[in-house]
This record gives sequence, C-alpha cells and structure tokens, in this order.
Amino acid sequence: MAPLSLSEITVPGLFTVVRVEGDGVSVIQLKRLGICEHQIIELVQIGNPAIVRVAGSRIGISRIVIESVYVEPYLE
Amino acid sequence: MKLSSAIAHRNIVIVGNPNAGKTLLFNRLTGLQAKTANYPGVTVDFREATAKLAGESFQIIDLPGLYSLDAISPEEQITRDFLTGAANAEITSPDLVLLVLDATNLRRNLFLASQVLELSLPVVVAVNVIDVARSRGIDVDIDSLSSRLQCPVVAVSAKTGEGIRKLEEQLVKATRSEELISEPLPSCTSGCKGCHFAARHDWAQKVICDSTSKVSSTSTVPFEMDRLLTHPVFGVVTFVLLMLFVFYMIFSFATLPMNLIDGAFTALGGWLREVIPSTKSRPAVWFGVVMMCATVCGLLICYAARIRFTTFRTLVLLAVATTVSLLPAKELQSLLADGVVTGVGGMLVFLPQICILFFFISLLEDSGYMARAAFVMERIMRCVGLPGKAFVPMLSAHACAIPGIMSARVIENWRDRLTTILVLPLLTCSARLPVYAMIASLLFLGSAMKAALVFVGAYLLGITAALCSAWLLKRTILPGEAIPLVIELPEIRWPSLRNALLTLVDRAIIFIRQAGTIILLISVFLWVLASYPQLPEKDAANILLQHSGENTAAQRLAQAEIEYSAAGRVGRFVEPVFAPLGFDWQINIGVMTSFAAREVVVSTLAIVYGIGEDAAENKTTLIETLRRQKRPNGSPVFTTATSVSFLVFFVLAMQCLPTQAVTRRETGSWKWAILQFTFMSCLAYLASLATYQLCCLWGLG
Repeated sequence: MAPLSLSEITVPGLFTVVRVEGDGVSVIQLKRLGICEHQIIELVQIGNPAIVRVAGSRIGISRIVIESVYVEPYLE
Repeated sequence: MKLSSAIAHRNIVIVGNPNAGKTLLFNRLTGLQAKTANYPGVTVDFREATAKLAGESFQIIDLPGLYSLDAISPEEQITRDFLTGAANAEITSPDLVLLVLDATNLRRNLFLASQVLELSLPVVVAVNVIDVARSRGIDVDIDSLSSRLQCPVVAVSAKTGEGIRKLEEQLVKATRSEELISEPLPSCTSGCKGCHFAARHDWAQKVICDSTSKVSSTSTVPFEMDRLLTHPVFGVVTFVLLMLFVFYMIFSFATLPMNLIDGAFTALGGWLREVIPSTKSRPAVWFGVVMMCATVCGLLICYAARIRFTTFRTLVLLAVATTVSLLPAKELQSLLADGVVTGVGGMLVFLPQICILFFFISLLEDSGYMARAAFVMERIMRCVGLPGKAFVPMLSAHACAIPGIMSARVIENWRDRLTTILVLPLLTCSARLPVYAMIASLLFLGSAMKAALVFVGAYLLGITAALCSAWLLKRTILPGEAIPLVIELPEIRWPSLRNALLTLVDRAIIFIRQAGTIILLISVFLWVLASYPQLPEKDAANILLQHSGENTAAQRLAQAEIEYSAAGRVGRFVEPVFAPLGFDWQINIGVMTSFAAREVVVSTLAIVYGIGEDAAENKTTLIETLRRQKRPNGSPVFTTATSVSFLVFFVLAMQCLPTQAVTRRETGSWKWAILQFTFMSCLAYLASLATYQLCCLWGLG
C-alpha cells in the first residue's frame, strides 16, 4: 500500500511516518517535534488545523503542513 | 557574556523547551532581582539577574525557549548564539548551562538536550515539575539519567521549591570544579546516514527507557475537555467568553486605580502650581535650585533610558537644565503642571489596565490555554494573512493599543508580529471614547439608540480597517502567507500566581520607564508647541480689559494664547489641507494638540471655541457651543458631514505618540513607527475626505 498524505486520512489512528517532504521552517518544526521518518504518530483530531500526538504531546498542525507528511498505518 | 553586569560575575544561562518551566525556575532562583534586557540589535528580550546561590554571586540569564538548535525564529537564534558564542562580539560562551527538562515530557525535551550536551559546555540538568511527574506515576531515575547524559542532574519543582537548594549547590559546585565538567556527549547522529532528527528522537526514546518507569506521559485533563477547547465552534466560543471575562475584569478592576492615578496627577499638578512661587524673589537661589533639580531629573531619565553619557550628551543635559532654570516662574509652573505632570499622568493612567491584562495573559500562557486559543483562531485569522495568535493582541488593543502591541510578542514569526503591531492602533481604544461620545452627541443628542449606532459604526470601522490593512500589508511591503501553524498544545495545568505577579511587575516597569523617558520628552515638546510664542502682554491685557466683568475673561485669554502659539499657527497654516475634510483652523488645532493623546482633542476644542477646559467636562455646554459655531460665510461648522468626517478621522488616525514610542521599542526601529504613522494618517485623511465629500453630495454638508 502506497503511503498516504496525512491530510488524506479520514479516520484517526496510529501511523508510521514514511517521509516528510519539503524543507521549510514548518517542516523543520515538524521534524524536531517528532514527526519525522520512522516515528509513530497518532492522528487525534481531523480538521484544519489537525491534532497529532507524538512523543508524548499533542501538536496542532495546519492542513497545508500535514499535506507534506506521508504515513502508513502502524502495524504492531 | 555580555550585557550589563555579566562581566563581574560568573554567568549561568537557563535553556530549555518552551513550557519546560525555565522562567518559573529563573524566578525561583532570582526572586524579584530580575530585569528585562534587550539583545543588541534586535528586539528580543530576555531576563537577567544577579543572584546569590549557596552564598556566591552569579549572573543568571533566562533565554528564550527553543525546541532545537536548528533555530527558526529570532528568539531561537539568540539562544543558539548565546550557547555557541556566535554572531555577536559581545557574547562569549557561558560559564555554565542550566538545561531545564520537563519531567512529564522528557521524550520531547531530550531532543534539545542531545544537541546542547554536544556543545562542549559545562551543563547541569534540572528535571523540572518532578512533583507532577511523580503524581502521574512517572518515576525518573536521576542517577541513571545523569549517567546517560554524562552530567549532573537534579530533580526540582520550580513551583513548590522542591530540590532548589540542591540545584543551587550543584550549580556552585559545577562552576568551581573543573573535573565535574563532563566531556561532551558523543553525537547520537554520528554514523547516521538518514534523518538526523529521527536519530535524536530514537536516542531520546532509549534514554527514557533506561531512566524512567513510564515511557510516555498522558494528560490529566480529560480528553473531552481538550476536544472542547480545540473544537472549531465551541473552542472559538470558549475563547471569546474567556476574553470577555478578562476584559470585564480589566474594566471593572482598573477603573478605581485609574481614577486614583488620574486624581493623584491632577492633585500633583495643582500642588505644583501652589508650591512653585509665581515670581522669583531670589533669582540666584532660584537658578541654583532649579538647575540642580533639572540636572538630577535629567540624570534619572538617562539612567532609566539606559543612555550612556558622552561629552555631547552631558552638554545637552546642562543646556536643557540651564534653559529650564532661566524660565520665568509662571512658565516653569506651566511646564511642570501642564507639560510634565499632565503628559506623564495621561500615560500612566493606563498602567492598571496593562498590569491586569498581563497578569491574565501570564496565567493563560502558564496554564497551556494560550496555545489552544491560537489553535482555534488560526482559520479565522488566516483569512487576512495573520496567525491565530494575533487575535489576542487585537482584542487587547480595544482597551489600549500599548498593551496590545506589547502582547504581540506571543506571535513568534517576526513578519506576522510586525504586521499585527502596525495595524493594532486602528482598533478602537478607550482613549477614543470621549471623541466618539462628543460626535455621537453632536449628531444625535437625545437619541440613545442612534448615538449607540455611532459607537458600533466606529468600532466596526476600526476592526475592518485593521483587518483590511493587515491583508494589504501582507500583500505589499510584508509579503508572504502567515507561517502555517505547527504548535505544541502543552498539557493544561494550574498556572503559577507568583509567576503571573512577577510578569506583571516586569511589564509595569517597562511601561513606567517608557512613560518616564520618551513620553516625558514628547509631552514637553507638545507643551512648548502649545505655549510658544507667547501672546504679547499688551494683547493679553487688552483681552482681559475687553472682557472685564465677564466670567469668561480667563477662557478668552486661554483661547487667544493657544491661537497665538505655534500649534495655533500650524492649525491656520494647514487649513487649506484640512478644508476638504470640513475642518476649520480651530479643529486643526485640536488635531495638532491631540497627537500626544487623542482624548486631548475634547479639552482643546473646548479651549479654542472659548468654553474653557473645565467646561469640557460638561458635555451639554460643550455640544451646544460646538453646534453654535459658524464659518466666516455664516454656515455651521459642525454639520453632519463635518461631524462624521471628524469621527472617521479620529477612528483611523495615529494620534497617540505613546503608542508610537512603544511601536519603536517593540520593532527596534523608528522606521516602522514612522511607517505606521504615515500609513494611518494617509488612511485617515483619505477616508475622512471621501466621507465629507460624499456627505456633501448627499446634501448633509
């Protein structure tokens, strides 16, 4: 299954980050907060902005930013 | 390291993630000794203080919070520069870094720790909010953590004071003993070919597994409550209700102290008039005393404004003191009572509002709510190119633009912050209300509903102008969309009252310093404009003679004096410029003199139309007199067209020099303050012109 952009996800749940595209300020901010390759994240609230739980805390993220985050479902 | 007194002491810099409790720990270590300093060349403030730790003096600096050394904002760059000693010759490496980690969220905080520990700097780690972590069942093994981080680690609670003494001892020990300073931590990204962010997060996860009994923390706030606070509709409603509550508190609690301050300054002005003799009986003694007082005041102002003394500045100070000493007694009375006391008092009267606003902002930030407010307002504010956080200063500006501009610091991105600062004075502040009240009465005396509509219209005009201006600025001189939101929603927790009070004191000191320096100078300048040149004694005597026996003789004299002054002459000089707006030369004087504070226009109009300043308090007398005023051709001055045009001008014009001074301070340059003034003045002029001309076309002139 090809990775999906986080903005395309319609049901909250756990995901593994496959890649984060781009290199702007927002992408750096995402990565240092824990949304980067191979990290497990939880999409808590869908919308614009959306809420993602990662590394023990919740992050509010604009839709335009989560479009650059590609994920696949987390399989334990 | 730089700055004021850092040279004399060993220095400790406090570093950590936003919301890790750095400032709380700083306040705990330094108490009320802190002062806000400004990083050279930019407008980022940080707090520094000299504190005794275990009997030894240290310079402690609380640096802006950051998530990593990959700095993406001016604040973060400054913290990075402090740590690396880069970019500024005034900065050398710190003697010790106090790295603050949040015990309830070590995983996130260890990312920054991994970078700081690689810098070859002596580091002591404080694991903060240990009490909260413990209550959630998170057991941090301090020895294990110290072993993994290869530096001393102390568990503390800045809020309760737990572990603070031990931390102080550890800090002293670390600065004394070279052997305690560990080798830099080997980089956790060495040999890593992939994403170095992921490598650091993986390292943090391993450290957590080795040193804590619970890998991740969970919020104690019910999930449903957080969902409500971040809900697109209920979140906005909650935010609006909360802000309404804050403003209700501001207006209800600030009224009494504001009246007291106002009364105190009025009494001070009256007292000065009584105490200062009207004539100089002993000129030499007079000269000496006034010279000494003026010099001491000048020195105090320079100290407050942190102006370094040079030969030139000393000569200027002495020249000003000499001029003041040579002023005739009555003019010195007027300078102190009408210029200094009225001007500074007019600014300081807003101090209670500012204190209350910052008290609540501090509580909301500490509690973690402010991040949620930014989250829910994001979509609305983005329509005009501003981030969600801009809503808080915009709301504050409805009380007074000054605290609004000061609270714009909650916006991280410089461009967004600057745009917000530039448009904030367009929002209706409380100083505009006397003008609105006057115009509403002029237009609809006796109709409360129509008068209320004038107020609503003026508020809406201000809001529309601010939002449209922000949209325009973001598409012209400050191009670029607002930085998309990526914000950590910290856990909701009880805020620290102590911290809020310290923030309040800090903001109040900045405000008072502003009032005592730049505002004082502006007030004196405007006093000079409205007082000189003086009406010749012969003319004054003639006026008094003509009106002898009338109880309006003093008012006629005041009217003639202001007409004769530079402000009066400017009013006449610019008459052709303002005539298309429906303003006569007397209204122009009101416009000129209200550049310091717009509410002054009411008392100025009372003087120039010969009613007297005291009578301005009596609205009916003022309104009736204004309605009776005629132009040379016999038509009334205050027609509907002129009144509405005047209202539009005062809604949009930048007539508040204290706001300009604060804009300069917050943007670090007069350039932006001048741009703000020019932009708002042009906007006010054009809008007022269009209003007047359209009203005339519709037969309302």
